[in-house]
Amino acid sequence: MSEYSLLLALNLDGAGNDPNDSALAALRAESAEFHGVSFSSDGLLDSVQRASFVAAKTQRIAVLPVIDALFTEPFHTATQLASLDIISHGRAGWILETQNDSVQADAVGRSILPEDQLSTEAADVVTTHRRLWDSWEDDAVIRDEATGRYLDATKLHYADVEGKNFSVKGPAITPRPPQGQLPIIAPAPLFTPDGLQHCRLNGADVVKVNAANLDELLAKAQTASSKGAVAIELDVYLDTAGDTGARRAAEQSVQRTPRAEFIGSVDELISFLKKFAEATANPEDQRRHLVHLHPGDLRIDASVLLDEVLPKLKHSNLLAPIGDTLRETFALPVAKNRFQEAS
Amino acid sequence: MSTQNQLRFGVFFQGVNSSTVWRSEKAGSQIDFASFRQIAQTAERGLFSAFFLGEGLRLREHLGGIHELDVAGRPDAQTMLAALAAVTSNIGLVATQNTTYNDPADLARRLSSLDLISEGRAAWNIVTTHNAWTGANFRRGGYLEHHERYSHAEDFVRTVRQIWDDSTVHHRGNHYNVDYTGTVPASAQHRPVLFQAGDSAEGRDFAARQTDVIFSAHVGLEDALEFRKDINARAAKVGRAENSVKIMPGAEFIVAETAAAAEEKYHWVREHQIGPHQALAYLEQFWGTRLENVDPYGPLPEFDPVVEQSSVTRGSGFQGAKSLELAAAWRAEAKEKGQNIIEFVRSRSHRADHTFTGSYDQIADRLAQYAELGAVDGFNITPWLIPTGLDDIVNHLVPRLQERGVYPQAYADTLRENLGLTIDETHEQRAIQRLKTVQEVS
Repeated sequence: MSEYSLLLALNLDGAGNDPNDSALAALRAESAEFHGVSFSSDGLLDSVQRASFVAAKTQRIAVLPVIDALFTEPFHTATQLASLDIISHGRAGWILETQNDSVQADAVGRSILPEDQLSTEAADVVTTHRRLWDSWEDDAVIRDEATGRYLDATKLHYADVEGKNFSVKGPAITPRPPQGQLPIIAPAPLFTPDGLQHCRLNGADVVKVNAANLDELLAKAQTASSKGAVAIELDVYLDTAGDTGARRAAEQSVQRTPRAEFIGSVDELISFLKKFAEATANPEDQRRHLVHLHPGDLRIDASVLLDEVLPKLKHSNLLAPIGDTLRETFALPVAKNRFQEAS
Repeated sequence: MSTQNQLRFGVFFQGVNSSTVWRSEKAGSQIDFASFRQIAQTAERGLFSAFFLGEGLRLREHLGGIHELDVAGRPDAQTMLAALAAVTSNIGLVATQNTTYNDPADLARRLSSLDLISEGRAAWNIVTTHNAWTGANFRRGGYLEHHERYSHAEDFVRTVRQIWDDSTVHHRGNHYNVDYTGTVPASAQHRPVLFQAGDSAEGRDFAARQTDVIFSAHVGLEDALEFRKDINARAAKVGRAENSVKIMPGAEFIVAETAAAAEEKYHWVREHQIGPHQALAYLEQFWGTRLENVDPYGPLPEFDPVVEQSSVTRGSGFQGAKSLELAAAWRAEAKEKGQNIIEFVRSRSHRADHTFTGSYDQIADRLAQYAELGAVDGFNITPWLIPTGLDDIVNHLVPRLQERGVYPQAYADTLRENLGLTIDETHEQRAIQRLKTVQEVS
C-alpha cells in the first residue's frame, strides 16, 4: 500500500459559545498533528467566524468551515472564505453543504429547490467562487509611483457568472487568496453528470462520501477514489478506561446523523483507517484522502483521539505530512489563474 | 469616573480611497492580517473604544474601468473582526454591513455570533445603497428604487432588532419575507451596538430612531455643536433622552511634537494622498472624460464637462452631482484662491476642517474644548498610514487627553459601556428572556 496518504480532520461542533474553547481544542489538535479542524454554524457561533478566530490563534492546522451553498450569497461567502485564507496564511478550505430545508429558505424569503436542481445550483455557486477568487491576479497590486497606480486594471477581471438562478459581475472586493483557490470539499451526490463533475475544472477538489455503515462507506470511498480525492465522514464513539463507546453511542441514538458510526477501541479505529487507506490507495498518483472525524462527545472522544489515536498513528506511516498550505497538504497542484494567459 | 464630557476614539481602517497614503516606503500592506492586528492592538493600547472596518460591495470604477489610483482590496469585515477578537481583549469591533445586499436573518445571526465571539464588543455600522451596479454582484440584483432605500433599511434594521430582542420574526416586506427564529444567545452587552452615518434629513431621522452612535461628518466645533442640537431635537421627538444618541465625527489627525513639525507633516500627507494622477482623476469624475492632456499644475479646465451628472466613478459616493454647475463654481473658487488643479483637489478631497493638525498639546487643548462643550462624544480617526498611523496619537496625544481629564483611564467590560451607552431596560429584559429560552431549547 502507498504510504503517507491519509489526512485527518477533527470536527469541533458542540464546543459551545466561548470561542476560546474552540481555540483550545484546535491548539490541542494542532499539537497532536491533526491536519485540520472543522466547524458548522451550530446554532451558536458562525462557522466562518469561529474558523477565523481559531486561525488567529494557531499556526499550522487547516481551518474548515461548513457553509451552505443554497441559501447564502455566493459573493459574500467567496469574500469570507478568501478573507479566512488571508488570515490563516493559506490554511482555509470549504466544506460545502446543500442545506435544502425550509428553515433555511424561509429565513431568506426563498423556497427550497427541487432535488434535481441541487447539483446545478451548487455547481453555479462553486463556479462563482472559483471565478471571483481568480478575478484578481496575484500581482494586481503594483504600487507604481511613476504612473500613480496602486492597481493594474489589466490584472483584474470581471467574474461574469451567469448561473441558472443568479448572476455575479465581480471582480472580487478582496485580493486573490494566498492559495489562489481554496480546496472545496463537496458531497458525492452533487457529482452527477450535470453537476460539479461536469465542470470538473471549476468544480470541487474533494468528494465527500457518506454511508449508513462502515462497509458501505469503504466501498463508496473506493469507487470515488478512482476519480479524485475523497473525504469520508465518521461519527466516532471510542472505548475509554471505564466505559465503552457502544454504551455511549446507544445513549446518543436519538440524534441520528447521515454519517456512518465508528464504535470501538482505539486499535479498531486504527485498523479501520488502514483499511480506508488501502481501499483508496492508487500507486499512480499522490492523492491524499481525508477522514473527517466527528467525536460523539467532544470532551470524551476528542480526548481519546488526541491522546491515544494520533500518537499511535504517528508511527504508522499512514498520515500525510502537513504542508504550508491546505492545497499542499492535499497535494493539489498550484492553482493556475483562469484569467491569466499561459506564459 | 463620570462618563460625561469624555471623548472616545475609534479607528477606521479605511482600505479604499485616497485618505490612505500608499506612495511611500512607510506604507505597509492593506490586506495582510499583520496590518489589521497592528492597528487594532495599537488602538487598544490607546484605550480606543472601537475598531471600524468599511465595506464596499463592488470594486470602484472610473470612466468605465477599474479605478487604479487608490488603495483597494479589503477583507470581509466580520471574518476579519472575528480574527481580531482573538488577538485583542477590549476594543470594540465594528462591521460596516449593507442593508440592501444582506439578508436580515443571516446578518442578525452573524452579528450575534461576532458579539459572542468578542464577548460583547461587536457593532454594526449600518449602510444602505440602492444602485443596481452593486446589485449585479447579488442574487436579488438591483431591486430597490432610490426613494425606497431608507424605508427598506429601516424595515431591515427593525427586523434584525426584533430577532435580537424577541428571537422570532415573521416579516412581510415589499421585496421579500422573513420567517426566522434566532438561536444565538445574547452577549454581555445584550445586542451589538448600532452605528450609522447618513447625513440627509431622512438619514438623521433614521439615526435618531434606530441607532446608538452617529458616525458624523461634522467635525468643526460650531458645526459639531449645531449637529448635536439637531440630533437631540430629532431624538426628543421619538422619546429618546438628550445625548442618548452618541456622535463621533470621522476625522484625521496630523500631530507632532511641535506645531511646525505637524505643519510639515501635513504637507507631506497631502502630497502623498493626492498626486497629479489622483487630482486629474478626481476632476474626471465630474467632467466625465479623460483629462490626460490637462496640466495638473495649471488651472481647472476651461471647457465644460461632457456629462450632466457625474456617475463615472462608481462606488465613490459622488454620484448625482450636477457637473456643469459644479465645474463653474469650482473654476471660480480655484481662481479666487489662486489654486492650481492639484492644490484645489487636495483642498476639496481632504478638507482642512476635517483634520486636526498641530502639536500634541495644541490638539489636546482643542479636543478638551470639544469635551467641555459636549460637542461630540469622540472621534472616529482614519489613519493616513497603515499600519503605523496611530502611533503618534496613542503615544503622545492620548496621555495628554488623560491628563486633561477628557479621555478614559481604563476599559469597561463591553463596547456599549465603553461608549457610555445605557441599556434600554425593556430590551435587556427581552434579551435575558431570549437567553433563557435558547438555553431551555438546547
